[in-house]
Parts: sequence; structure tokens; C-alpha cells
Amino acid sequence: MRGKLLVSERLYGALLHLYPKEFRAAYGRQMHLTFRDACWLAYHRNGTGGLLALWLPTLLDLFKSVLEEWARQGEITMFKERLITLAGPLTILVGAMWAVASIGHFAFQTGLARDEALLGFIAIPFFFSFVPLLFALTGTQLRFHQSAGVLGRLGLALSVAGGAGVIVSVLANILLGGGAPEVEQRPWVNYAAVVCFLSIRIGYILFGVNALRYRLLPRWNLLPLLLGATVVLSLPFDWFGAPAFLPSQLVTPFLHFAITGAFWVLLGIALMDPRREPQPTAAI
Amino acid sequence: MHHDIQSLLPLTPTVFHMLLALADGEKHGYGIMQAVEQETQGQMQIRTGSLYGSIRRMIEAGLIEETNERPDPELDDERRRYYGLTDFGRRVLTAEAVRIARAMAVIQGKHILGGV
Repeated sequence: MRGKLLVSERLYGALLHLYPKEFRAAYGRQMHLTFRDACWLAYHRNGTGGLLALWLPTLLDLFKSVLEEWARQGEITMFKERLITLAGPLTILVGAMWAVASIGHFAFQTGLARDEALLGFIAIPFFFSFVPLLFALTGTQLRFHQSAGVLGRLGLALSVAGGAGVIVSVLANILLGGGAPEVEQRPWVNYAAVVCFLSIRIGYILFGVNALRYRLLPRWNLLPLLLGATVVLSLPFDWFGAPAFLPSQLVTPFLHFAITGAFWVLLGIALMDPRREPQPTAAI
Repeated sequence: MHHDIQSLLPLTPTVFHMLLALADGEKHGYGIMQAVEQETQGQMQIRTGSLYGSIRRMIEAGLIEETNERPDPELDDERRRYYGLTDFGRRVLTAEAVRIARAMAVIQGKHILGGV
């Protein structure tokens, strides 16, 4: 019990850093104490389910109030601009993290390394890549929201929701495990994570069609579609403890991470192109 | 700080219920959350982020203030801050209650509630 409550408190404490510094200084400690009490009561009444039921609306409320507080400080525009500017470098970072994972898989696959620690070496950059990925996806969505057509906007929204969903699912798994993920025992969380994981690139397929049609990116407009198409390379593997959709021997994890990572890097480079203005006719 | 009560009316449901929660005495943030949930029979639940955003706005509007009242530290966490209604906040709450009571009179006059 204590472990789950502590994990909850610490996660919430970390999320409070999303608020503007001034607001956090004034109310951060009080919010932490209030959330701690709410966690205790939720757990006392309904156990782990109660804790999860508290977390989901709390997360939504937190993101809403974070935006309100930034908007109040007149910094929301700056925040958006920063996200848009950072989308390119963060996408490259994600690609680099996946490349590291691919190197780990290569070493494991070829027998260069058999150490158990290597599994952590592979998993850590992959799991942590979803944090910069969410910011990169959000920045991309903010940048192309006006210029993309309906399909593109839907795709971008799907990819952002997928990125957020993966993080929430992983957090839910950690909470359910009291700090130690017990992936195999939580099939519904695992399936949710996989669906969200695949949604990111399915969203990119939709956005990619739109990008090709309206020439949304400054260059390499085929990239979002190619990146989206790499979702096929994900199907033969068991992600987040859920079984593989289409088991196959043709694609190795190394290939999946290397190809997808390379596309993330190239997309990041394309997004960093200074010619940022989207085509004004694209939305029509 | 606002001094024109009418300009604040009608209050948002969150502000109204938070003022109502504080009408019978100072409370800390979690106490306000619980009081609102109980007094609305669970129909309104204020989450932590919205709660403190509202507290900040209500302090700025002069409706509530941080109080110096502290319970015995052995009975409560002394790090908690307590909030109470200001005189202005109480007058705003009364004005909103009068507005709702007038609306209620119209509702009753038109038999909107029927057999409820």
C-alpha cells in the first residue's frame, strides 16, 4: 500500500513542475499535500482501482490547469512557439534513442553481448523516448494544425493522443505494480499501451497523406507517410507485454528500431528547416 | 480586487460551491474539496489543479484569504494553509444566494419542478 501511495505522490510532485514557477512556488506544496490526502482516501476506499480512478481525471485536470496558468501569465504563446521550435530537435532525439535501442538489439541478436544488463540498455532509451516524443508530437501538431486538412489534423491528434496514452499506460502499470511493473499480469493496460503505441504511427500515415497532397513540410514530404508505414515493422513483436499481432521471422527488432529511428531523425531534420511557413491554401 | 458585487454575478458553480464550503468556517484545500463533494452529493468534484487555480483567482478577487488560524499541530499537518471568506466574499455569496432564491421563486411559481 505504502509503495503505491509513495509512487503516486512522487509522480504528482514531478508533474507539478509543469506549472509556471511563480504558481508552483505559491501553491505547489499545498497541491502536493492535498493530492496526498486524496490518494490516501481513494486507496483506503477502493484500493488500487480507486487510486487509478483518481489519477485519470487528475491528469486531465492537471494539463488543463497548467495551460490556464501559463495562459494567465501571457506566456502560452511563447510556450507554443517553444514547443514548435523544439519539435525538430526532439524528434531527432527520439530517433537517436531508438537508434541506441537498435544497437542494443543488434549486439544481443548477433551474440556480441549476452549480459542481462543489456536488456536494460535496450529498454531504457525506448521507454524514456516517449517523453520527448510526446513534446515533439505536440509541437508538430501545433505547427501544422492550421495548414493541414481534416485528415492531417485527425492524424496529428491521433499521434499526440497515442503518445500521451503510452505514457499514461506505462504510469498506470507502474502504479499497479507499486513501483515495479508487472507487465504480464495487467493485460488490459498492456493492450492499451500497444494500441496507443501503434496509433502514433497510424496517425502519421493520415498526416503523411495530407503532407504529400498539400506539401506541408518544408522538404521531404514523403517522410511522415514512410514513418507511419513503419507501423508494419512493429506488428511481429510483443510490445509492453502484449502478444504480437503478426508473428514473423522476417523482421528483427534491430531492423525495426534502426529503420524507424532513422525516419524519426530525418523527419526531425525536415522539421528544423528554417522555411517554416506552411502553404496557406492547404486547409481548403 | 473587485468591489462591485454585481459585476461578479452570476458566480461560476465552482466559485459558488467553494464560497459555500467556506461559509461555515476556514478550511484547507482538501477540506474544501471534500465539503464541495459532500454538499453537492458527489455531483461536483473539484480536482487539485482546478482547486488551487480557483483559490488563486478568488484571493486575487478578494473573495477569500489565507487565515492565520491553525489547529493544534498534533491534530493536523502544520504545513497546510487554511482559507476563509473575507467580508467581501461573504457579501458576494449572499448576493448570489439572493439571486438563486429569486430564480427559485420563479421556478416554483411556474411549477417547473412538478411533483419533484
